[in-house]
Amino acid sequence: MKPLKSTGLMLTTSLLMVACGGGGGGGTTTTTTPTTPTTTTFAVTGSVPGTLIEAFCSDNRVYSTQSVQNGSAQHPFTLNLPQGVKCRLVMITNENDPNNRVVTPIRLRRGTTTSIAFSGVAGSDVNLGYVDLKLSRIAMRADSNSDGVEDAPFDIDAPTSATVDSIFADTMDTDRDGIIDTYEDDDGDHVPNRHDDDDDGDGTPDLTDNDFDSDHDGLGDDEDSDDDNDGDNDGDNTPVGGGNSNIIVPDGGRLLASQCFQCHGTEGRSVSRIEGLAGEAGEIASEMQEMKYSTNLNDIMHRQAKGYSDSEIQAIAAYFANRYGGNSTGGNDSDGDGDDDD
Amino acid sequence: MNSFNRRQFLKTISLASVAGAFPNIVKAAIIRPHIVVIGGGFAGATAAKYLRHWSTAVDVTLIEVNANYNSCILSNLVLNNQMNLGQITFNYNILAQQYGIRVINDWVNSVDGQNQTISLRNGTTLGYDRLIIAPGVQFLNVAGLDSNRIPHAWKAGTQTTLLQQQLAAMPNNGKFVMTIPAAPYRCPPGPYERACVIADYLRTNKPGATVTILDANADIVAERQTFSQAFNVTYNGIIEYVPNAVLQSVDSDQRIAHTSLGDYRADVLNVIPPQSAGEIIHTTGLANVGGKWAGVNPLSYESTAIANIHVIGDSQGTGQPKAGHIANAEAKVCADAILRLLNNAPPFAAPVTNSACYSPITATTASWLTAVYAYDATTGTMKVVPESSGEATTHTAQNYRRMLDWANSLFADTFA
Repeated sequence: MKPLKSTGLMLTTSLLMVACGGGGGGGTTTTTTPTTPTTTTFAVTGSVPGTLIEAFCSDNRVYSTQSVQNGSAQHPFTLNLPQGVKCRLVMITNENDPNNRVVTPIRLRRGTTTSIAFSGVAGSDVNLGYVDLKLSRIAMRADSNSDGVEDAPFDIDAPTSATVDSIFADTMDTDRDGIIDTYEDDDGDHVPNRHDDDDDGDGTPDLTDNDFDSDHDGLGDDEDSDDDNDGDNDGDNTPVGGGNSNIIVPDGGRLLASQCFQCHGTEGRSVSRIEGLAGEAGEIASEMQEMKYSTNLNDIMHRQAKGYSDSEIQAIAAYFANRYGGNSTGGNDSDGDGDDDD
Repeated sequence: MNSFNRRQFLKTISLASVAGAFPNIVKAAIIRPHIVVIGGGFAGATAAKYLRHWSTAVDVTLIEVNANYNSCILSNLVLNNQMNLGQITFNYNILAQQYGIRVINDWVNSVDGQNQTISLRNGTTLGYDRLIIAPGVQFLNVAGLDSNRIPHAWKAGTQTTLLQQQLAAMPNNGKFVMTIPAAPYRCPPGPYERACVIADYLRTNKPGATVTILDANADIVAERQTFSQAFNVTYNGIIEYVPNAVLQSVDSDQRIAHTSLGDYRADVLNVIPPQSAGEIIHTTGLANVGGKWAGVNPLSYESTAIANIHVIGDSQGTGQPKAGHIANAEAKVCADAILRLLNNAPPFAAPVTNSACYSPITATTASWLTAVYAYDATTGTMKVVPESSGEATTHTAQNYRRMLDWANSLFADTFA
């Protein structure tokens, strides 16, 4: 276990509570007007069985409105959205009843393309028609964890006036399951992640819990002494994930060492009869030097070693030394993770 | 489910909400750079893997039209029945599941470098922050050539099987004729290796059969010492090597190669056509080296024609050989550079790539070839470090065993 690292992310305001608010499912249309003037807008229209309609958009705003109770079973709504941003729609019935609230993420479908993100053009309405939302937990399409959020988004054929936007690196739906992050509940405890102090339900509060495997080496970060795979043991203050700064090693040690992996295995863990380099940290430099200056040219590694300068050989050796404990006798890598210092 | 991303995102949200919320505004969410890789061979698969191996802060999408990849490396051993295709077939499951790479099996119709989008055959358009293109080679037209009957087997798969079947059906005293295009082409020693492997197979299975090599080049392109000895000694009387034989056209019905040195009729004709960078390199406007290959900055493999597009593997035009091992090496330089560039840092200034390969010479022996390339800042090119370039002095059984270890290690470093 080690201290939680900085995510390097700065959010100055919250992902709002507006989803839970609302005016009792009826009354007049109450479009949330952006606080700064927007350029041009288009209207998303349609009808629903009484609901709150939200749009989470790439201008970092959430727009919402409520449908109009007009005496029929299909309540019309109009939500004005700015042109030039990509929005994701979520509709909520019984929004004021936590035990019977039904959250339905909307996905647009056109041909074989589906996406929760869409955009529109100013002045051109996007009419969704009647959206058949469910009004109770019992009626929901699929809710395996009983959190009131449909497990899969509800598909609507995209009106021709809407652009279906493909976004793979969707910052609002980071696991790309069509449910925007705001409504995720990882551990199924009916507390959405955004209100849950222990998202994965492992008993460790999120603020101190770091049990991911950032570098995919099979070791959870809590156990891994080099969880960002930067060649330096943790505590080196190099951010992991999120901060997008896994560059380090200015002498190219990581890159130079990776040129050994084709034969000696990824990170020096051999998968063949070729010698592995993990646990050989102390010998790499001297062996490579020996090969470099050998006059026996009928050896593929003697040739390879001649391709590297002395300082490059040192950088390669230093990379492995930092990753594998740095002792001169080689590592005792009992757990197979490449780190013998645990 | 990639819970890491979501949890990190949401944890930050909850931290922020403590500071006080302004309900209708969400400030900048996480910007996760999206890198798209086109092509799932040794270059593309390695690049995708190492982007994620080295960084959890980027999203990587790998687009490859085929669900499985047949390695060209070792594929000559399918021709003489020492291996089957399944042993050199790989999929992308580990890259997807263990590295969190999104894999899409589709064909890229077009790349819009201006808007940084690509269009897939299925109608989808994807945006990218950085694009890596690694399509391998495409084969240029040869008059009269029908590769469905006269196989090249220079992309492994059904072509390999077809050539293997034709060899198996060849009569005793038959003639196997193969053509080699002018360099550069994929895998410099590969054609000569193939001639050896097939000669060994014919010697055992088709008495009296011969191999004729029609080489458009003036001399053996790679491992000259090894292959000269093999042709003149090991396969004396079986292999005939003909340099400067430039293929002009093919009679696919009669199995005749029309060359600058005359016509050669074969029982089995193996035409390896001239090659250029993959089609998408040309349609995107990246083929600015002799109209055939993609010019790149070897510090990052970024195209010299269009920003934010990187080209690695056989399509690049740096002068480094076109082969799987060095494609893997280039991919790592490219991935490392992209991660640095996304952080507004320059690429590592002195990258090194290495080329290595083992070539089977008989059913039990092999040779090797290797070279290390270092960046030369004066010319801005990758140059061979002279002493590092060399070949085995003789083919040995030990090298044959090492060949299998080398290949398995390379396969794992690329696909697993």
